[in-house]
Amino acid sequence: MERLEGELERMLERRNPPGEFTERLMSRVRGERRRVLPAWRWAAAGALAASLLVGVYVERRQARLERERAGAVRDELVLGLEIAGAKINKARRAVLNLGTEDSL
Amino acid sequence: MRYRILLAGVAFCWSLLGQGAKLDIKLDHLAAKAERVVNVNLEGAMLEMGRKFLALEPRKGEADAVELVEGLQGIYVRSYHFAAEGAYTAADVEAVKKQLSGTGWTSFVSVSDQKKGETVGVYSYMEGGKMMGTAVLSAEPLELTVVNIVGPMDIGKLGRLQGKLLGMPDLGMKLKPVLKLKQDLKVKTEKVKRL
Repeated sequence: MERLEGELERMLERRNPPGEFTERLMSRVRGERRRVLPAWRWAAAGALAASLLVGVYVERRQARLERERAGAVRDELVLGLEIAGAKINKARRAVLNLGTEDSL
Repeated sequence: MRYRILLAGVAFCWSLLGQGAKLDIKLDHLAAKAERVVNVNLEGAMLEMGRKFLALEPRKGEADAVELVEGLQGIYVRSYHFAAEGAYTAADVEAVKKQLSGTGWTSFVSVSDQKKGETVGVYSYMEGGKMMGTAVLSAEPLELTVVNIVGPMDIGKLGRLQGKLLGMPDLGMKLKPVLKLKQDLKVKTEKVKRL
């Protein structure tokens, strides 16, 4: 009985941890943290964000170019109408001024 | 199936409607002699794009043009301004006039001034009792212009619109300011192409 008690006492007696325990523990904790979000995930997230940005830029650029192209076509259409209108008015004026000096 | 074939047939016939109003303007050889050239060729998807953009964002004076271009199938303009007289021949004018004397075409108004050597004519193309095309031929000593509009067009409205569209008063029938605008437009278009 006494032997058992003595053995228990010896086993449960307070002991200081080895000198590098804290450092080892902290480095393990840091290692765990790294394992939670490894580098490749950061890289993947970065790549995803970059591709999203590139996608938005390309889309906006495409929309701008399309808009400029449509604007140029609109200008051409308006120019065609303007010339047609000018010539029709010329004919109209000529008819109205028929017989006068400046018919055309 | 039969219904689909019928629909396709109707769509095909509809697309052909007014196509007789399209002129074959062969005046490209004059471009080399001309001081300034206006060449407008709008049809199909390009015309649709221009029409949509015009309807979406009309500038000052363009609101009436939106209604005017409704149903338009094509607009073709050839305008040549020369530095000296005699750059084009009577045969060039006759080639266009010959087409305008064909089936469906009617001369709306045609005025000639022998003294000044100027001729201007407005023609309309009728199909099924409806006006499906317009052509304007203007020949001056220093300028030759052919306008061909395929599709219904209110000529009166078009005349009233002139001078409002490009934000300038009546041009006095001289195309110089318009040609300058056309050159600016060409530069702009080339810039867009380069992008």
